[in-house]
Amino acid sequence: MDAIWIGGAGQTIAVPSVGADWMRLAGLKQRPLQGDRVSLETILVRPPAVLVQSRYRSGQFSRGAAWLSHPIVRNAKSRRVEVDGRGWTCMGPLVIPEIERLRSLIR
Amino acid sequence: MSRRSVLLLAAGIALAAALSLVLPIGSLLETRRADPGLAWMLIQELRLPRTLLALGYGAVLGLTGAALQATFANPLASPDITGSSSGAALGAVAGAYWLGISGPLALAACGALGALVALAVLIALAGRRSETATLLLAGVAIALAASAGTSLLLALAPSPFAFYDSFEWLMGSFVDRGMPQALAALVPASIASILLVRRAQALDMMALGDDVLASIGYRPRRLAVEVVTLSAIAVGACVSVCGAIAFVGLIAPFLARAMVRGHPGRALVPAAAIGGILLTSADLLVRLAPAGGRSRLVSSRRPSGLRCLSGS
Repeated sequence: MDAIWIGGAGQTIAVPSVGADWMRLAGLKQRPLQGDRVSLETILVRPPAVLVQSRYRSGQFSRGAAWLSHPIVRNAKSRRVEVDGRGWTCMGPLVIPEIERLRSLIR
Repeated sequence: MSRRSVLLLAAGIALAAALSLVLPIGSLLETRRADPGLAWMLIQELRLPRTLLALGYGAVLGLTGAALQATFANPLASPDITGSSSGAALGAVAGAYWLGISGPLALAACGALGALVALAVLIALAGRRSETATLLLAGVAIALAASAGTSLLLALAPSPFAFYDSFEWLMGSFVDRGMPQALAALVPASIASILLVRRAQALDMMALGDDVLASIGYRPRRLAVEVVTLSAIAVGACVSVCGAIAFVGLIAPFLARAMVRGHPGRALVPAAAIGGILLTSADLLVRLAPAGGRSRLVSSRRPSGLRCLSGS
């Protein structure tokens, strides 16, 4: 299933990468994007089937966090799944429970 | 300024704006075929604010650069070299990350305050009629100090993403700015710019010296304070939304004075037009340039400020 993982300011996961491999295990195919960033225009014009959105430090102000609150992101025509961004920062074994949760949500 | 120059500048602005709205055209046409309403939303919500910001910020840089060069009687005075852009960035960062100010208009005010403080320090250090070297040194010192302060505030901010923000925002970028942000930057900047243009005749007279200016009926010191204040408001509002952009405020007045036979006051409006065209063109190059041979996507996210800094 076509998916885009988004963090603050439109940061996303590179393809190929460990993160993309983890997402594949969850049944999601991370879309390759230029500069490992996704723009609002992409989300508006070519929304993915699934948006995996990190809520890491979402309560603290940053311009990146403000980007995630943009109306285009909030109203994207994609199925949205929120994830705890901490595990995705290091992409180590701590992300396994997140992958299992994503698999159960996607089914 | 000749009629031909006026037409040339007007055509340049119109062309830059039109290209900024429609390019890249592939994605726009594809979207319009699939959903005309979505194509209109793409233009209205994303491309129009970006175009307005590029034109408006460029115009502000050109106009304030011309005004500062006239006030300081120095062709090297510009918002970035005098430290006002860096001061505006420091003000906006302090407001956003440490005072918790999130509204675009309030952030613009923080940026304006930062720019004002920077210019006030410049006048205190270098004086209004200082030599070129003194002005340069003072401006560079203020810019470096403000940049160091900005980096420190971002590094110590509660959110770890604050430091990442500095790379994109402080280098100057119009990517993913919405209409509320465009209005928050351009409305105060436009008001300040109009008030600056009204002082164009006085700035022409300023070139003859303070004594001549005073004999005509103007107050030199008050005029200088007004120009500095209005420039700080205009630049600060734009920097708080788009970040600091160099070079345009220096080169646009230089080109404009060539069109008006060196009159510093009459160069204000042409400098604004040239600045708008320059910055919009730089933003277009950023959007259309390929990045490392990767496949082209809907829009590029490379900061426009880098293009201007490299002078390309």
